[in-house]
Amino acid sequence: MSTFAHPGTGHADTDRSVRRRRIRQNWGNPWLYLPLTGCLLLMIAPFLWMLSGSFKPEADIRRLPPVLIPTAPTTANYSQLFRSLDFTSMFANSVIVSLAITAGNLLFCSMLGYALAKLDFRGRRVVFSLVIGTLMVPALVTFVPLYVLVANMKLTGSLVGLILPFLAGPFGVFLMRQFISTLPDELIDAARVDGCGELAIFWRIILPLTKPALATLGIIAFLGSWNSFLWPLVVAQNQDQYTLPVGLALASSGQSFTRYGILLAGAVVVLLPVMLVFLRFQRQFVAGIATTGLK
Amino acid sequence: MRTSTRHTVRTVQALCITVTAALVATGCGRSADSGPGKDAPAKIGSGKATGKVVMWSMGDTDPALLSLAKKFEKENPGVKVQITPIPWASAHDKLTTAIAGGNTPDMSVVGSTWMAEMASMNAFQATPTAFKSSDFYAGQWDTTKYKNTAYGVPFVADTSAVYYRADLTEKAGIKGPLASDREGYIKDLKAIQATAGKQNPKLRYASGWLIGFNSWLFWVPMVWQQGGDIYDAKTKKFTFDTPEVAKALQYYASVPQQHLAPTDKEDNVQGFQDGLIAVYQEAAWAGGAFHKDSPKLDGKWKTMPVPYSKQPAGFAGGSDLAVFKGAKNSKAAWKFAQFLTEPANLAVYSKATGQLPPSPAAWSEGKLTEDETKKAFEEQLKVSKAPPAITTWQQIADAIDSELEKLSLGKATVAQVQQALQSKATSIGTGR
Amino acid sequence: MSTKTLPGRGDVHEPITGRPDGSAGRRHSAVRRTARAQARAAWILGVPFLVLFAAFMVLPVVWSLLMSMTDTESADLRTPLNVSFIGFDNYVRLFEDEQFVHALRNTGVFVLVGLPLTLAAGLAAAVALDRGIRRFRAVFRVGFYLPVITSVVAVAVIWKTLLDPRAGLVNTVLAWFGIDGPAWLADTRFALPVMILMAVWRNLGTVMIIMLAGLQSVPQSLMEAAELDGAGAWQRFWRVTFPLLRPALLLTAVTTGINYLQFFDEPFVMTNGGPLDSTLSATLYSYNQFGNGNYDMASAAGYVVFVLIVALTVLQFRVLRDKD
Repeated sequence: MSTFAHPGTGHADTDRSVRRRRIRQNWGNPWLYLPLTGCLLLMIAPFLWMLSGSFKPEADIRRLPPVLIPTAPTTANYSQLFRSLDFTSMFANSVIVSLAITAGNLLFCSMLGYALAKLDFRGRRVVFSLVIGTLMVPALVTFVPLYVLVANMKLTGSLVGLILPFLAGPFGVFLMRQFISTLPDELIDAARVDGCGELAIFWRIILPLTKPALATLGIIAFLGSWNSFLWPLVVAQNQDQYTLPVGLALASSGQSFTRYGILLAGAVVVLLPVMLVFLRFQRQFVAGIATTGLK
Repeated sequence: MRTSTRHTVRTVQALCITVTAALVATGCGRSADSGPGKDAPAKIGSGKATGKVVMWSMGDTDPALLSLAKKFEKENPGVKVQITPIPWASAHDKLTTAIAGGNTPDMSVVGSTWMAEMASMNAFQATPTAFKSSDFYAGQWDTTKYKNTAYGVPFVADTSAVYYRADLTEKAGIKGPLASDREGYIKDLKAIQATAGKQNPKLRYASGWLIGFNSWLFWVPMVWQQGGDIYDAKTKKFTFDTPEVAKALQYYASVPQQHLAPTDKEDNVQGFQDGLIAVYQEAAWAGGAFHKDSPKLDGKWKTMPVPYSKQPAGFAGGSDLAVFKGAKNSKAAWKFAQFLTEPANLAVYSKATGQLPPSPAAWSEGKLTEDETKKAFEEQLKVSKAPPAITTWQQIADAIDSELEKLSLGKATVAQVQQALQSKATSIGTGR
Repeated sequence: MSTKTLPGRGDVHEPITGRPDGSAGRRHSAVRRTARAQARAAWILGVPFLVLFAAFMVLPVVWSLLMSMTDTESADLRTPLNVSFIGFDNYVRLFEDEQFVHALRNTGVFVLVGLPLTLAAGLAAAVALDRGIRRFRAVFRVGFYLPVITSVVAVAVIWKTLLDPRAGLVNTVLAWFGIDGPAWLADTRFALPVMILMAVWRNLGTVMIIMLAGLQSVPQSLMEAAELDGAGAWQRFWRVTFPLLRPALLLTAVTTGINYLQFFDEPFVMTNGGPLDSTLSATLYSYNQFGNGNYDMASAAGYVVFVLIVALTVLQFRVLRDKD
């Protein structure tokens, strides 16, 4: 960021005002840090709770008055979690399903998004309206019909049933279309004049330019499928097909009671990969949104 | 471009109208059902079980169930049992979705209150005659029924009894269990309440009381204890407007209204362990939780049968085993069900999981009453009853929960609640 | 402001011919070839998505719409044609059901209060992070976004503990100030506000991220010019920054609005719609109807929400759209 232009004040700069300017340059408004940290603590307090709870013995978790630092810290919840679930297989399932859905969305949505943004064809408007329209239908409504459909296609009981229905998400098309519209037409025209084929234009020219939007879509798609619970629950016919959230519910919910220790430990474990993904891609994520229909 | 878009839109419209018209024209409508309720009992056949049996069980992987499955496999070489555990909280949805989609396994553990609903969806096979109702507690057997046909076998019994902290009640001068009649019980609760903050410094309320979600489990037996009922199976009418129901409602409201129990839906199980309440009515699993989470309290808490006014009664819950109509291997599935419900195996399962077996023979074979705290449950099982076997039961139960909550918070009177329940229940109806 | 970036209304279809360019003649035939090639390419690019979309999205939507106009119960799904067509009867019955009207009211309150709160909070956080402070931005960014990426079940457990009436953290802190905190989730007056607060907490991270992106696209030169003109910080924000944030605001308002109209997670895991239906949302009502096997009513309820979503989105576009 460039330095602020200071209107002349009419007196010589003292040491203090120089220092103040420098603080302002490096830190911004110092008075904001305290309230912001307070807000930050408010935002993450439940997580600190979750983390601390995951290390408490079961009886202590809901004991009142609540204590933040566990008095008798234990890793029993984690070991129980890993023991009672076939943890590695559920983790692998979650990873496979989420990565597949993310990859599918990245590819297919950018393909159609480009077509809707830059190519001229009959039915463009209908397709786009259809995509936007279904975006507004509450997900719950289509759940059961989708399940019956998938069951009739004999896709339940396999990871394919977990992946296939979600490879084509309308939100991704919306996002990619908005982003690609902001790319200059001249680029494409020039390529056309050079004799580049339409598909090659997409693959070689447009796609590399969409990296920020792809990062954004990638995080959103990954997050959505990672935390998804109801669909994997209903489609899996056998424990081998359970994903992490389902396994977590299994390990922690009894008929009339909940094993909170395992639930919290599981929640921490489920959170970590997403947090890492976000940490790694957050700058591109923000940049991607920035150039998407924000002009 | 405009014209072609309009053209497309018009085509889509025409398509919709055609589809709708076709549906109406084919006279699509309901035909007289000839299905559930009229099934003949399934055949279990003779000989050993073979092939693969897929069973859904509730809750986390159950080592006791798995070891029983292995035993079955040993006795029936050639059979392979695959058990898939399903989280309890979502089991109902998963089962109904699977049934609706025609995508069920061979058999499953099914919560007792779901049996009628799922049987009416034409999901289950009728119980073979090899299973005798006399082998099980009457209330438990009734949970498998739909339109007077049995559609499963009881597997786990569940009912509630009163837990009390003997160390706290002693301080109120009560030796042993509280009184078994309602008036005496309330008197004892008042005595306990008087020690709150004094002889029992941490105590806040004499008793925990179930309000809100699932409070109907708690309250419906109170009606039975009055000698009445909320539903008459013969006339197929609801009977919320009877004096017995009024008495049960009055009793239910009296405890929180006299400040003998909290109304803020606290965690009563935790409160019991922490000494914040002295008495709490809950199912058998609570004892297991107390033992596991607060072993220091072992011996300090005891159980007693639920106090009643005219006759003892309790709620028969638990889970049953059902074999699906779409089962690929129903013969082996029924054989496995038969195996699991043999008294010896039920006793083994119960001992390992802390749950209650649904057959008297299993109780005696497993000598389960050696554990003193289980005696009260055995008493209750003898007098427990199943809720009405109607498909709309969950909706009725939800209505009861909601009205009971209003009553306990003082937002409605007994008469208002009765009227509301009668009209709500009548409009919900009894379903299929 | 380019109108090509916003969907549907006002989407101007740009003609391919008629570009101001020399050599129009040669271009003309090349362009005609291009038009055909484009259409072909478009369909090739679109086919994978469209096939999946038609099968797994459009078909279920159509089916559920039809279900909402019949008397389908769960047992009928295996014989879908054996149901009676009853037109809009379900919708009429829905609005006669006191519980559904209550649910709609709750949903309305939730959106009308929660949406502006979330947008304001997210915007404030974004401005603070973008303009206010320089260091540790990433820490704050991740921290504020953390509630968005956590599973709602774990969040519910923690919040329930914090809100415990006796000695949960919230009431303990209130007690320091001499306030006797109520039983938050058991009180019909406070349960819905608590849900709203939870939703704001959970979603302001998303709004913040999008606003951050919007703020970054505000050219520094404009800010400097305004400062040179003597505009104070507050004025600079309202006159310069805020108008340029309109597209970001539209995006967040629309996505958060759609999200909030369907609010389900918070009441489902915290209170199951209680106490006394004070946190029952329209979607939760629909879910319960699915659970009861009344697929007809459940679908109808879902489509009522759909109509609301469309209405809100159109409204937001009208209000927040750039007028240039």
